[in-house]
Amino acid sequence: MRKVTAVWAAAVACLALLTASAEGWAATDQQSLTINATVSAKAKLTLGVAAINFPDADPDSVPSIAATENPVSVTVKTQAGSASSVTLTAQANGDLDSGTDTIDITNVTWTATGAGFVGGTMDTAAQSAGAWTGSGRRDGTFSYALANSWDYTAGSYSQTVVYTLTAP
Amino acid sequence: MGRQVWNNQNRQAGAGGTVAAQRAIKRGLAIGRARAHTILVALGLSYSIAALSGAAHATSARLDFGVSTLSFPSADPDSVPVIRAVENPVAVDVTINGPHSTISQLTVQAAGDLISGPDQIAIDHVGWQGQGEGFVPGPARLSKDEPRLVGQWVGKGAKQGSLRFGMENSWDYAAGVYSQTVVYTLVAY
Repeated sequence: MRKVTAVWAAAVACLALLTASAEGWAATDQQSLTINATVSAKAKLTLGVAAINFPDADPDSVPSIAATENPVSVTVKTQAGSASSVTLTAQANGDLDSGTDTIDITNVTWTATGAGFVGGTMDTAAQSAGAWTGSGRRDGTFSYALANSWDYTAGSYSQTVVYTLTAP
Repeated sequence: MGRQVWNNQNRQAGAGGTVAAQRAIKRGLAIGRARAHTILVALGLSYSIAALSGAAHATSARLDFGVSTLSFPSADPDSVPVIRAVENPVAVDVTINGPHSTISQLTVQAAGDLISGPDQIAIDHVGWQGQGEGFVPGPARLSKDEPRLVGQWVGKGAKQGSLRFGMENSWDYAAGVYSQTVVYTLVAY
């Protein structure tokens, strides 16, 4: 009986020793770090070319003159609020000018490819060229055309069109 | 409690028993007391030894970061594809006291993704590179699902290193001010 008691006591002692030792050896420390990231609203518009050209053509055989640069690549990149409306507009500074002669800018039209891009007619008032929601990159193309006419006075015409991308 | 029950059982047996039975009960009581005494002494001794052993091998771990906040400013994703934290490099001091065989590990886990109202940036878009003895050089990414190893060492002493944090930039991020907490845990055993 005494032997059994002694063995039992020894087992209990070993268990206690191991438990207490393990508790004594482990140590831990923690530190928290707060991460802050700011994403400000941004908009970046990239057009594949800085100029488009409409060559001379017979109005009977070429009633609609395509721009030499067609299709023109266009890329829209925005960082905006997740529900924010992103818009792209085109606005001509005036009609096509050649000295005192003019060609109404509404004779210039464009078609579009790519999600969110839209075709339209050029004007001195801002015209929608695309619309999206929130952040992201959007790729598309614009193809331009000039309605040809025997009424145009011979000359080299020019005008500037401003594209505006807005991401509030 | 066990001892009281044992005694109560013997009292009930002795109430209607003979002299021989009463002697047997007394012997039982004596043996029980001796056994309990032996166990108590053994427990006392073992805890004393354990306490002395623990004191001799006392292990402590201390973790110090040079900052408590990391900041990633806004930047053009085209020109800055990876945004560096303003606070880079972040100094990290690890101090371990204990036996020469002490193993220590520093891990990090995020509490979630970067949050800005309903918008999120996956926390694994934030990563780091370590420098210093025992620090994982990386590059490594934060995780909200599991701890990621930052450094590990064997033995005691002070370990000094630094971490450089970066966040992948993207046009897909919604505008906003994002925040999240990450917890660094140092364990030595």
